[in-house]
Amino acid sequence: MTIEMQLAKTEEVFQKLTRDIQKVIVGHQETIRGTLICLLCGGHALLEGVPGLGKTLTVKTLGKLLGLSFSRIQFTPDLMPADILGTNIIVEEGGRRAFEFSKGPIFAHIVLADEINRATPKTQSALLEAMQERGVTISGKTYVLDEPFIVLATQNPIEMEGTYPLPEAQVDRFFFKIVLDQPTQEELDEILKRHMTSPEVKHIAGSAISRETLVDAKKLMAQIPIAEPLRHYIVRLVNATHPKRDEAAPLVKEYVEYGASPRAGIALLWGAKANAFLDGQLNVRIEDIQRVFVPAFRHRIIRNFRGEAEGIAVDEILKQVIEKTPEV
Amino acid sequence: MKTNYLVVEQEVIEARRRLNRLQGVRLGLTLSASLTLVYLILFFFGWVQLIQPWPILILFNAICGGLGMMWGDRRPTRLQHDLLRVDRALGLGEKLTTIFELRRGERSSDILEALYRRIDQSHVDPKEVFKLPRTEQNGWYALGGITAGILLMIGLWGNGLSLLHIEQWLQGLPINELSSQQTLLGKDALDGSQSVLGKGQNQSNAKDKKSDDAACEKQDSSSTALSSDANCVNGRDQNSPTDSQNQTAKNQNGQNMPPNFPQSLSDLLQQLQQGNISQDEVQKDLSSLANQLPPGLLQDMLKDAAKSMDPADLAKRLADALKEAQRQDENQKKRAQSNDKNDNQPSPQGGPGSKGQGIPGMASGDQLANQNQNNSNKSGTEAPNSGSSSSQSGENPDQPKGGDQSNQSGQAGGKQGSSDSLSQNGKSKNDSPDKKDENGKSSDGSGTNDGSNNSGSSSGSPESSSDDEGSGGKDSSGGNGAGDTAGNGKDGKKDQSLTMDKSLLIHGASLPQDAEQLKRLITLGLPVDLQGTQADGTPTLKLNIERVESLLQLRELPPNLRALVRAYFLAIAGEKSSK
Repeated sequence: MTIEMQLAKTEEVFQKLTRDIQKVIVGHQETIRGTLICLLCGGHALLEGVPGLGKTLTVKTLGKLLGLSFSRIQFTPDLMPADILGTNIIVEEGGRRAFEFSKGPIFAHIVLADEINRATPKTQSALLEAMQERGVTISGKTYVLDEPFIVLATQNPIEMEGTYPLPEAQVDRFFFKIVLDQPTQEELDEILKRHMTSPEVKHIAGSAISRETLVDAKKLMAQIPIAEPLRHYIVRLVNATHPKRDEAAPLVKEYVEYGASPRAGIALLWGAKANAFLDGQLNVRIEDIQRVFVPAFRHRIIRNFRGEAEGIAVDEILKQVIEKTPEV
Repeated sequence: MKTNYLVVEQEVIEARRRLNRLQGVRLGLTLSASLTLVYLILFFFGWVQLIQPWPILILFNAICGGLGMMWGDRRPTRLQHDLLRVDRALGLGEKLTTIFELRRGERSSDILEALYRRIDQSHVDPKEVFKLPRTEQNGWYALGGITAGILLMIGLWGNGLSLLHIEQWLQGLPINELSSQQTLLGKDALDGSQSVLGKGQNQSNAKDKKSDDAACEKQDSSSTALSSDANCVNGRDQNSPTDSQNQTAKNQNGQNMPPNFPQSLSDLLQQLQQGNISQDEVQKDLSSLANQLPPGLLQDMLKDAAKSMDPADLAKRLADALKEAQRQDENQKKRAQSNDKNDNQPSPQGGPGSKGQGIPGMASGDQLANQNQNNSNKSGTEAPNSGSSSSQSGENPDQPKGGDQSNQSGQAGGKQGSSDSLSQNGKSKNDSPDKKDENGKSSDGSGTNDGSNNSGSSSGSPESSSDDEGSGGKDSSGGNGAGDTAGNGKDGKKDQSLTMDKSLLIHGASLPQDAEQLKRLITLGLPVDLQGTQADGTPTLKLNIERVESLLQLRELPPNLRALVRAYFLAIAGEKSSK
């Protein structure tokens, strides 16, 4: 089977997956695509949106359709790290007592960390360490997390009281930050139509994609080449987010305190690959880079005081960065 | 694997190099055109001399363009950059760029093979990408326009044309155009140009004038061809090709119009008007009659008439030729009479009877001319018109100076405008017995001034007027007054033709000293020929007034305009060269 055939087959699988998700989730195409990209790239996604947009439902549906183990962690202020990672418990076997590690909810393929900004920084750091290390170390013993491992964290942008915003250094570990928008009028009407007979959403049984298929897809995606001029384009984009650089966009110079890190460039590169893969392309295009630029960078730009005071949106800054950065 | 990618890659390279060459040419031409423009501006203001030959400027621009093209061709190219440009322009999804990247790794892969296949399925034409954008195309058009404008400026201004020369060039326009503008220069400009000439002639040496007068006297008395070095008015330089156009009556070799020639023409015209003869036969007869004539104005008129295919035009031309023949015949007769009289009347004064017999109450053209000459003699200067008059006087053995006659003519006449005086003088000159011109009779209906080169020029010009002031208080405009009636035809006589050769002496520091350059610019519109240069380098031009006259005759002009044109040429016609 040629690579073109493989790509075509994989593309079809993911298109079916998307269609199945959309049977449950109305709209949120970019959210779904971003989540799939994170899944293919092995990155974690931070989903941000007001309550009731379907963030949890989206992750649950994705988990079911992917045939992967799924766990949900509801972050609360009293949540402890052990509640996430697991803990040693004493078990009695044959008259002898021993400690046995009891895995926490993080030991799943897809972990939904709901309202992560409500937990304490201590708890947050435990999750973030697991995200970064892809393993859990308890009492000096490391437990490796199974692949694929993806954490889909959510946070509510409007409830700031009693919350613990993630530190920038830890937010940077998320591959994408996906912002869920309000549904359009047509989408809202569709949602209501689907809830006419029952307030609950019917979940789809079965999986649209197996774990093996997903693993193969990841390997195939890794082969997608990216030309040197496009890499240079990514470099220019990263540099354009730093206010002290000459090639920085005007809004960056005015409202940004700190720009994107090299990790953002890596995320952009792999995100472009995944996007090209999902489109059935044999190579990365400039359109792929531009499409994933905003979700890959929006949580890595730190505004200065003036930017926060004037309420300038990060997305608006990134939009100008793309416009001002030459493609060639 | 065989693929079209290699072809595409090569096409991209060629397209880029072609674009580089175009940009190089543009850069080179921009620089050279800018330098040329600056140079022309400096030349226009007289800060630098025009490089000779001036087509070197064109060569300079061409060389700069060629050097620019060579530079552009040698510019390094970035193939991957150009491939990306093609990808973006043609929507190929950066396939070419990726293929180039993978090929650089010198390893084959499934993806590379797959990319080859996809490129082969696409139509890639790099020429569509590597072409000048609209703004650059507009720049090329602007550059071409500027370059063409520069070359046009070189062609027009390269010979150092000035405003005066432009006016002269405009004078070369057809007379009907002149008439539509009335007079191109206007009387004021006419006066101004005359003053320029007058200034120059004022610098001439009276001694030289006297020697020329003597030479002219010899020529007049001997009725032989003038010596080639004599710049006598009415003199014929037989070496000059323009002499061949002089009227038959002036030919000093004794070739006159055949007797009864006007009658022959009249009969022919009558037959044509009555329809008793076909147009072809008329044309044949005209050709045969023309062959009977010596080279001159009348012969040319007959030949032109013979070529006419329009019966109405043929009749008109034949009528004009008849008028001219009648006038020449009359002049011929008068000359013969005046020659007899001059032999019997040595008085230099030469009253009205000796000179212009034309219109009663009018001073003859010779009188006016002599008056001017006398004035110039007294003042020790030689006015251009007086020069002509003096040459006229020189021609008259009875009036070596001609000044007395000028005085008399000045006394006789009243004040008059210059143009009128020219016509009058021309008329009166016709009566001069010592005239050698082919001045026709004023009554022949030709409406031309003949002999006006003599007295007309002298009396008609303001210069001559100014010269007349020194002539004992005589009002030179008296000659003008005499000419007034002639010009206006109050006495019923028509204007006499311009028939005499004149030596147009050009002076003035503002004119180019290069004879060839002078000849080029002056012959743009004026019927003059470069006759040579004086010892001091002053160019001498010969004005063939007969050529002007032929134009005046062949076109419908208001009488006043015709007279004014004659007066102008008479005014600018000098009498003698001066050193």
